[in-house]
Amino acid sequence: LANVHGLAIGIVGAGLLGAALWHGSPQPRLMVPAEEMHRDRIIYPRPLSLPGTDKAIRSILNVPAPMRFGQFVWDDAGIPDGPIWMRIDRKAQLISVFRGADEIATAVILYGAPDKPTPQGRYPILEMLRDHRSRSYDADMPFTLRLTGDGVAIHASDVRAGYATHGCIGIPLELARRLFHDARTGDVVFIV
Amino acid sequence: VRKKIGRRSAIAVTLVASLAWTGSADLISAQSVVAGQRMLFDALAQISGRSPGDRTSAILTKVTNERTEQRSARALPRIRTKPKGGSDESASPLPLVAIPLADELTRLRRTSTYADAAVPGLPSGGAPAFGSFPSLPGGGGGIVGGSGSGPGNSPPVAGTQPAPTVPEPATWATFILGFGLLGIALRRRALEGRKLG
Repeated sequence: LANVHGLAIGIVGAGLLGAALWHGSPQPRLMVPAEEMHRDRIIYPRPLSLPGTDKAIRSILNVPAPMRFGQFVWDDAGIPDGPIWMRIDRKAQLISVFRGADEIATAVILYGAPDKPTPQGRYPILEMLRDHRSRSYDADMPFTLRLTGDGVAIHASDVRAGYATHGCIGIPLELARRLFHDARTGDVVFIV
Repeated sequence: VRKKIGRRSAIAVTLVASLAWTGSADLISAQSVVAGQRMLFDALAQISGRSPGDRTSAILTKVTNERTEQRSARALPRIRTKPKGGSDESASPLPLVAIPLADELTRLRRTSTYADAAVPGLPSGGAPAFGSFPSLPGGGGGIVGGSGSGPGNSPPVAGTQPAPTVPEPATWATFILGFGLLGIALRRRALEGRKLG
């Protein structure tokens, strides 16, 4: 009988250990890579310009389902060289990166909280800082593209649902890295 | 007459033709505007289709600086409002009582004969005041609770944080390890018993 008891307690212990381990380990965020969602691109027969911008576009990425926070699509296959420009849609919580007239990247963004709003307008990139550390917020902001004199910038951020920034545009780290590689000072960002 | 008719008809024909031409041109441009609008709508629909929707909550992204600011904002008023002199009654009993009590405790530790006796000269308000004094370790509180106070006057153990209701993973692990060892011991004992029997 003692043997059975010991075994039972052992099994319960193992079960509890398993449960504790299961519970203790942070559950990995279920994420479908946005690259898989993206199929092809939508090409328009005539150039058109999106609201809030003064640039003509020819094609956009085909992302048929809503993207999740932290995801991004980057597809510049077959897109000719050209100036980078961006359109940031605060209401839709999206960034669209264009090269010339074709969209090459998109992602869900974080933007300024209601009391620290991200300003609307047309902003050329003023400064690019690879390993920026904010003094005012004591926080790392890698791959910063500074847009305004008072500190509004596009930078890598932990893009999670429900969060807001102090006025900056937060984008996923890998997207920020690629954008930093391709963008140049003076490239235009439209915030709508 | 023929010439006249010819001229008139020629004019009419050219008029009609030009009207038709401009009309069709207008029509074509109107069509292109409509097509452009449709394309724009399509593009905007495509973009809004990939949007997660409107933002419903806007929790500020946490930054170290702000956290330290908040912490100091919580802690500083307490430090700042605490008077330096002994004028305030709420603050003055702490150093006045805690120092003789600490002396008393060290004396009690050294002389075990005093362990079961009531602490002589301990002010009646001393124990609660000690309870609200956070910087002494919990061990001291234990001594006070066990031996320091007189009979029927055991104060609550001081300096202990309220235990979290949900055990931490480390606690769980220890707990389970204990269960496991218990199981192994019982099993081993049972097996030995069987061998002997």
